[in-house]
Amino acid sequence: MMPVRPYHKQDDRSAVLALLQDTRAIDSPSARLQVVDERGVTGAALWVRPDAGTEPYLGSVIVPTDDGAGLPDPKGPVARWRQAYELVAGCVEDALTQGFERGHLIIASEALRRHIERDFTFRIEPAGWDPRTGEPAQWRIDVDLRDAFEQLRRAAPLAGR
Amino acid sequence: MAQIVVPALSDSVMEGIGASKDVNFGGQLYVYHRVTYLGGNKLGWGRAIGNFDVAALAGAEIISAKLVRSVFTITNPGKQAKLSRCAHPEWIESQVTWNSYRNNFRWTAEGGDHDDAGPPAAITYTEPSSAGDHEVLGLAPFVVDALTNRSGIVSIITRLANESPGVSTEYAWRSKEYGSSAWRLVIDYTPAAPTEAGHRSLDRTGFGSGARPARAAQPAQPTAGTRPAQPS
Repeated sequence: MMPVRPYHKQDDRSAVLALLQDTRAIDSPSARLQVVDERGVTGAALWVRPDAGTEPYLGSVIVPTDDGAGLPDPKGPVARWRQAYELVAGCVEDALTQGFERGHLIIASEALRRHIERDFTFRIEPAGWDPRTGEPAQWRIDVDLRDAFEQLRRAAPLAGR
Repeated sequence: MAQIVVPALSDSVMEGIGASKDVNFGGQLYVYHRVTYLGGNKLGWGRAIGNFDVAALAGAEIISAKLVRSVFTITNPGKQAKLSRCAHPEWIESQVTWNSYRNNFRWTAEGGDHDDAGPPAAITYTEPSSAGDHEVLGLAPFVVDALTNRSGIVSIITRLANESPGVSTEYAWRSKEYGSSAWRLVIDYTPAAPTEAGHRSLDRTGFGSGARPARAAQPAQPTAGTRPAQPS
C-alpha cells in the first residue's frame, strides 16, 4: 500500500512546514498537498490549483534522501524515486478528482530532465533559454493527467526505493 | 473613426528568483505576472514585458486605446496589477531577463526599468476573476507618447501591484508565439487628413486613408504580423 495520502492540516502542518519551509506555500488557498506517511510525514509534494482556467501545475516535491530530505536530484543524495513518483501520482490523482485534464511542471535541471526522459514518455519542451547561447535552461512538461497517472503508477515500482 | 489591432511585436517574461534571473523566456507561448509560493526553494516572481509597434498611426489622432489579453489561468483572482512604460524599449526578446534588457546591458533596476510617474503614468487595474479576453483601458497616452517620443514603439512592463501578496497569485495570458490570441493593443483613431505629402505616403505605404484603414496595418517599419484594421 502506498504511504502517500492527502495532507491533513491539523495533523501534518508542523511536519510539512519543516519540509516545505514556507508557510505561504502551505497556506496559499491554491496549494494542494500530498504527503508520504511512514509513521510520520517524511515527504511532501505541492501542486497549484488555479482558481480559473485549466492549467494546474506541480510545485516542489520533497522526499527522503540518504542524508535527510530534499528535492529529487539525480546528482544529489540518493532520493527515494519511488516515493517521489508516488507523491506526484497522488497530486495528479487529486487534480483529476478536481476536474482537471491537463497539467504541467517546469524543471530547471538537465540531469532531472534526462532522468524523466529515461522513465517516462512525456513531451518535454524548452521553456527558458540561456540568453547568450540560446541553449535551453528550463523545460516545461505538459501532460495529459490520466496518461501521467498511468505512467507514474507503472514507473514507481521500477524506480527503486 | 477607424480601429487598428496591433499584436505584440515582441514579448517575454522576466523571472526574479535565483538562476531564473538570467534566463530568457522570450520563446514561450504565454506571458504572465505572478508571485507563487511553491515550497522548498521554489518561488516564482514574474513580470511581463511587451513591445507594440504603432508607428503606422503616425499623424493620426488617437482617440482611445486598450490592451486586450486572452487570460487563460488565474490564481487568486481580482487582485490589482500595474502597467508601466518600459524605459528601455530596445530590449531584445531572445535576450531579455530579470537582470538585463539585452546581452551586456543590465537594467538599472532589476526586473526592468519602468516609469510609473509618466507621462504616461502607470495604469493600475483590477485583474479578472474568470478566464477569457480581458481589457485594460486607458492606453491612449502610451500610444501618443510612443508616436511622439519612442519611434512608434509602445513598450510596457506589467506586474502585480502587490508583489508580496502572501498567497500564490498569478495571471497568465497568450503571448505572440501563440498566434491569434496574442495580447494586443486595440486603438481607435482618426486618420491623418490627406495632404499632398500624405498622398505620396499612401502610394508608398498604403497609410493615410480612413476609407481603407486596413492598409494602415502595413507600415514601412516591420510589425511582425500587425493585423488588418477594422473600420468601426
